[in-house]
Amino acid sequence: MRHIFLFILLLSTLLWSSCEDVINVNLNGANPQLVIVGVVSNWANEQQVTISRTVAFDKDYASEPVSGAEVEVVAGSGRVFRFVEKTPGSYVAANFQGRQNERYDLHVRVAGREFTATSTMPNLVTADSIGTAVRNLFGEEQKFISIKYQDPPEVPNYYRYLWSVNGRAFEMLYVTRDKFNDGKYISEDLADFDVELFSGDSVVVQMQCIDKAAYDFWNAVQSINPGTAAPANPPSVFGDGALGYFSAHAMSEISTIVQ
Amino acid sequence: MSFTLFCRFYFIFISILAGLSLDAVSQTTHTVSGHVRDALTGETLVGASVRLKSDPSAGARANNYGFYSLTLPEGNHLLVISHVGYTAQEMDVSLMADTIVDIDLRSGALLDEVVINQSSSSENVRSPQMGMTRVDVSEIKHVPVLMGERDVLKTIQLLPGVLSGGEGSSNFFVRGGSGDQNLILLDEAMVYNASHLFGFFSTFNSDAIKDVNLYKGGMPAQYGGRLASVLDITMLDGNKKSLGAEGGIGLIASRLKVDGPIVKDRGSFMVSGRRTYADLFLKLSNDEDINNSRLYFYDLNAKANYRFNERNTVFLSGYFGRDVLGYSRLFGFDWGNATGTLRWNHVLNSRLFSNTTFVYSNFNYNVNIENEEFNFVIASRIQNYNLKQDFQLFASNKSTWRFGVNLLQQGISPANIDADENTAVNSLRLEDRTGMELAGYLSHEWKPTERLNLIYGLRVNNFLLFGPGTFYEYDADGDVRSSQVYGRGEVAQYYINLEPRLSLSYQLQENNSLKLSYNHNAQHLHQLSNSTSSLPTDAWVMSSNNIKPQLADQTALGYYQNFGDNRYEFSVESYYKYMQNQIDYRNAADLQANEHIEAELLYGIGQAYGVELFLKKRTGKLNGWLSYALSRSERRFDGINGGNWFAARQDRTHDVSVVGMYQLSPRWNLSATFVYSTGNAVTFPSGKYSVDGRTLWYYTERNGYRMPDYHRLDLGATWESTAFKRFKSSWTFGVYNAYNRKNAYIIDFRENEANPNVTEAYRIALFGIIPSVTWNFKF
Repeated sequence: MRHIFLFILLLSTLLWSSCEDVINVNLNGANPQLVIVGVVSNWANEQQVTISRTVAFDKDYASEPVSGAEVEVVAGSGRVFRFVEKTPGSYVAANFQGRQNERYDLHVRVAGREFTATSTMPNLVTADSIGTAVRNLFGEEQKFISIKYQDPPEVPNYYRYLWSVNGRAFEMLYVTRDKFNDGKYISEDLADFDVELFSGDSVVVQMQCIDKAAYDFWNAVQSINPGTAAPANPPSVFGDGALGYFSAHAMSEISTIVQ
Repeated sequence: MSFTLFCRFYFIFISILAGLSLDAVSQTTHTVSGHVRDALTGETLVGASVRLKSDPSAGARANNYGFYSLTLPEGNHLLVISHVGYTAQEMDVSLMADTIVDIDLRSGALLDEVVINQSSSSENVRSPQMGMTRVDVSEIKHVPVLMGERDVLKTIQLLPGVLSGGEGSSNFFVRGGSGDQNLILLDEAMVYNASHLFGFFSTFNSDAIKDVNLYKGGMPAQYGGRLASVLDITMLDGNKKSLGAEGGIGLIASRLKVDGPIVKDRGSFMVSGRRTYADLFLKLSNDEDINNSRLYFYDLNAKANYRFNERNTVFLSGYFGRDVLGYSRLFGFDWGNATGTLRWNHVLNSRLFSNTTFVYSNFNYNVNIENEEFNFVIASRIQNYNLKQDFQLFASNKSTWRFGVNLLQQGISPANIDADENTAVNSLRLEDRTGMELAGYLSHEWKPTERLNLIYGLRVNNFLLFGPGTFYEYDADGDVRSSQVYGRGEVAQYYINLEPRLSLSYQLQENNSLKLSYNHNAQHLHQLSNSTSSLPTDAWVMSSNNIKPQLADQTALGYYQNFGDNRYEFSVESYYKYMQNQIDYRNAADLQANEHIEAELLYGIGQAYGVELFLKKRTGKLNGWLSYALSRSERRFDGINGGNWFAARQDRTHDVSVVGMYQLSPRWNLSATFVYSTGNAVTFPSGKYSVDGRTLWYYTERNGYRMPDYHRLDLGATWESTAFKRFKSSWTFGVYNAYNRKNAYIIDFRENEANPNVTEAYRIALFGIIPSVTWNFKF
């Protein structure tokens, strides 16, 4: 389906002499809302939970850190990991490496309220090849990074892709699921409209196998486009009191030099 | 099973009919009946008025097939026959027995200052029908439009209470309703997706259209199935006297219509086609991928009729239209409607008119993807077969009955994926759904006193959803709670709706009246879309165990007045509409190829109310209209906006249209349209937050903000060249958005490129000033 909308977008740009400019919109201020983002990964030996508050739209920073929270994760094995605040709003547990198939419960106590969420780390699916794909779109050559992997049959799988180009910070590209290609050998073309790839660029791709809740969160974010009739906040595993997600994911990295 | 039910309905109605016929024969009266036609072309005239000169309040209106019937005491009568745009005609009849008289009217150009008969031109005041507007196709000829493509759906958006679906859109909203709540009929066939090219052009080629009626409320009982409006479009029958052609060459499309007699005065045909040619420019490209691309749409309307004798006429009409897009061999996307209507008009006796209709209507789309990894097709279809039997009994010149039955079978094949064995996509089949609507109606137009006119009626509708298939029940979170399998022909769900309708006028004086209407409508077909525009890929669903029929109750009160010797008409209507079982979507709902699509839906209520003013100057060098609507449309859903009322997206407080046409000289006609409306209700963020390095928007209220006000001026001019024998031609020039207003099509938010911590709003305006030119010809 994404192909269709991409095409429609291209078509409308071609057809109509549309014009774009920056304008001033008067937006109301809202009461700050709590945002909790927790991650347990198999990749690192240290896990992180960030707690912040929403800020007004016209602020020149994106969020306000929340300090003084109590954070812990209880693993399925019964081990309890306590998180310590390393920098304002950023809580870290060292010597904690996530394991596939293990269930994790996050407990956050902040400003007199308690929030909990659960995530089970899916099995790792790794890409077995990476390369450069070139597509000719309306007379212009465009380079993609193409990764290939075998999707496990009969189970729903959710993937999140990030990349780092020429050593820059990792950026999320998008999330997918195997609704239409369950059990297939999948080739995923990775691209970012704002980043043009050139021969010789070095690209590192992170492929995260995430659970449904994390997929639902990111899918809600990426499905909001200018044509969405009713944009809304992504579903939160913490209920009405806080935005965000808690994701136990299994990930791997694969890298290439753009041809 | 359903057939026997149908027969039972049929016989009940036949018995009622027999009873009524007997009832009416009690004094020495005779009936004059026949068809009213255009003298030049033989086209039947819908809605023409036939009245007694001595008592203009006694009379009849020609029905949709131009048939009239007037029952009068034995003796001599002077009749006046009139129709908008035609020279009124007087006729002596000597009634000694039932008589058949066909009447030919001559069209009178607006300039000729025809003194239109008083009784006809105050029809709008006297008629009991409320909330109805007839659009004169010849009148809209001069209204300037986008890219010079004349468009019925864009013209009706200039009427009060009808809102545009957005910049350049042929989609429309009536009295706070949504786009899928409009019943759009083309020769009685339901048109599912009435637009081309994602809504910018309507599927109705004006050349092929005879008559357009829009009902915003008080719909007569013969119409059902949608909440907000009925747009009833009739195609031209074709010239019965001589062969002719007309067409035009425009910036984006060309048109050609050919019509003429099959057998003179007995039968005629009409074929009209239109095609865009933007794709021809693609052919000029050297790039193989581009010159192999496809980008066009076309329409084909065809109609034929044959009158066997004074009592029997058969019509066959069809529409076929398609949009085709494609990029090289990699991607193909096409969609379109096809409709076919077969009708038999039968005059049972001089007072009883019967029409039997069989309709087929289909909408489908196909998407093809073919590259190294993918090779698959997505296809979806919705179609119906509709069998209708309508009777019209002209019981007396104060009383007309309409009744009939309707059997509609509807089938939906949701988007299915057909993939190659070796491709990286799995095939996916969703279950087809079959439904049936069995409806009967009875409606009475009655004039109990000199001043009071009313139409009241009842429509009974039985909707049945059939197996085979698995039908799920969902809990509050949208998870499957239970499922039930039904076999072929088994009824999975049914609903029975009683839909009372009333519309009346009380004439205060000769030229003013009060009107009142009430209607209850039920809707069993729902279009699901969570984007701002209506797309061909939107899913359609029928009422089911989860989806209750959408219901609306509308009450309206109005005042109608004509003045200046009927040269001006004025009306004010106010309405309140209450809607139940309205549909909205869970956050980030998955509406594509989803077996559990019904789990993504939320149900709520809605209300809409407003006041509409309309002032029209009908004749003279300068004519046109002014329309203003003040309205509010709201929805309430558990789980959206904290359960509070919120404005519907199409809620626009003020909506103004001004349409002016000026005949400068016999050669030049100038026109202008100005529209102004409050911006749509829209959801904007009220804050932001950061997740994993990305800035996300924080939303607090559904539709709590407003798009900027919309306004636009369009100009048009038509120049008629000198006729050469029968050959006439004209040039139409247009300027869309004459003062180049940058109306916001989209307002969106993003991180500033230079400093990602700073966020900014930006606006996309779709159409700036767009000139157009079209050359038209006729012979």
